[in-house]
Amino acid sequence: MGSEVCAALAEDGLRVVVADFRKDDAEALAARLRSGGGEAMAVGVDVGDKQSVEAMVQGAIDAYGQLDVQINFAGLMGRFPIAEMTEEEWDRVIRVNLRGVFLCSQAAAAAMRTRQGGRILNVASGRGIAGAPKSAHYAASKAGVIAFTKTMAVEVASDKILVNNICPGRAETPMARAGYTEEQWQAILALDPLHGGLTQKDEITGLVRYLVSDAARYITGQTFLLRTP
Amino acid sequence: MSQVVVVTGGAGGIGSAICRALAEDGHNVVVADFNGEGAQALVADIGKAGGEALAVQVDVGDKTSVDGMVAAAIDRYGHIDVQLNAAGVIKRCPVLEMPAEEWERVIRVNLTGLFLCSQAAGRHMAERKSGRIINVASGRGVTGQAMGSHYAASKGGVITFTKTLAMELAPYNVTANAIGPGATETDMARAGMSEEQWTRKQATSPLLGGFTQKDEITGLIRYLISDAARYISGQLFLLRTA
Ligand SMILES: NC(=O)c1ccc[n+]([C@@H]2O[C@H](COP(=O)([O-])OP(=O)(O)OC[C@H]3O[C@@H](n4cnc5c(N)ncnc54)[C@H](O)[C@@H]3O)[C@@H](O)[C@H]2O)c1
Repeated sequence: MGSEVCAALAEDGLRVVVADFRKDDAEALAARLRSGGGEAMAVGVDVGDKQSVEAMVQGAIDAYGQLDVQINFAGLMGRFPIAEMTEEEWDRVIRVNLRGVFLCSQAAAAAMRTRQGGRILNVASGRGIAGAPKSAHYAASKAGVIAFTKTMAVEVASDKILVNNICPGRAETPMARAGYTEEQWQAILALDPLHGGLTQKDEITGLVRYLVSDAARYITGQTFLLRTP
Repeated sequence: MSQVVVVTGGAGGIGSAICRALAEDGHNVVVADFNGEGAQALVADIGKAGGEALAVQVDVGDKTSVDGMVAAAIDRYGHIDVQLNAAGVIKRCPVLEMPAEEWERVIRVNLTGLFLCSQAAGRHMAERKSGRIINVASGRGVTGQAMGSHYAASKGGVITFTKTLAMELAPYNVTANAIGPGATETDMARAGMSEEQWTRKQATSPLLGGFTQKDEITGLIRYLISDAARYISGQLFLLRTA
């Protein structure tokens, strides 16, 4: 999902920092966006690591002089019933999905505050509302992201920083794929998007474009669902 | 692509802003309002600005009148792509003093009216296997509103009605969503607030509890009728925390 959003925003003329744990993939995407006429750079980041996150934000500011929008797409998923979930597996998912959102939002807001303006989009999930059997850590992390976002929105409103959630529904990505058995996945693929089928990538980019547009300049603390959880 | 959009309450504060914006985008707009003169004046205005619009006088609480509105839209433009229900009324009144007639009046326009309009337009859209219904709800339908129990109940009803509508119309490729704008500077909001609430809102920045700006609402509507929103259904879009 993140790569689609990067491509759409680069196409719109925004300067995009592609930040990912897999730096090579980020480099490749940034190069592709540049060759398409866009402005983009790549940064390797571990969103669960404060120093790494601060370096990411600093990298954006060094390159482009400012940070207007921070979009937190980085996330992990795993399939384990609670009875079999190890502490390590729990921590692995919470560290990236929840701590990562906290650290990235915190560092981005610090940079945005000096300019008195900015927007943060946190990608949560309907699973954070409905729960996710065999992925309790994922569901808990996303519920946390929603509550974190609402809280932060209130705390930074006076700095003109907006913080919102988007919940995309199921899209065709490796992460979504990992949450289902092969049989379940094939059944989902066969469905119409209006009847439980996959969220299309341009639905997500459309929502992001709306939320970074001028019309959304006072919207904050909201959770935008593309599908009913 | 140019769409045919019917806006009830089209002559009102929020409705008229939506009509103007969509006409500006090149859509064919049906300005449907109880206030027929207001609708005509707006259509004349839109025409002067180079837009295309039709005025229809309608009482959304009356089935015959609503059927006439849908027929007039189809007569003029061939079909309806978007039915946007923004007609509404409010009056400040505590529960303990509320006459049953006042309760009935608000429920009739805000909830029954929206049902009748969604049904009439929905039948047409189901037949065409295409269409979008957008209902103007309110955060008050989630939180309640002191001095406006009938209004809050009607809007709560709009939210669950819209979710149900979305389920029932999905097989026909018709979507239904609700929006909750937040307090917006219109005659209705004025009527729903005390003097003190009104002046406080006016003095406050939109980010810290002030009024929703009209272009925020038109921006959301533009998004919801765009291609990117073609599969979104049964959702409530709040512009402010309820
Ligand atoms: N203004 C706000 O703060 C606010 C906040 C949230 C939701 N809303 C909702 O937005 C919608 C528009 O409200 P507004 O603020 O523009 O109010 P408004 O009073 O300016 O407009 C309402 C319009 O509805 C029309 N109307 C009333 N009864 C009708 C009927 N029986 N048939 C047809 N039309 C009828 C009126 O003539 C008027 O033009 C309403 O549904 C309202 O509940 C408003």
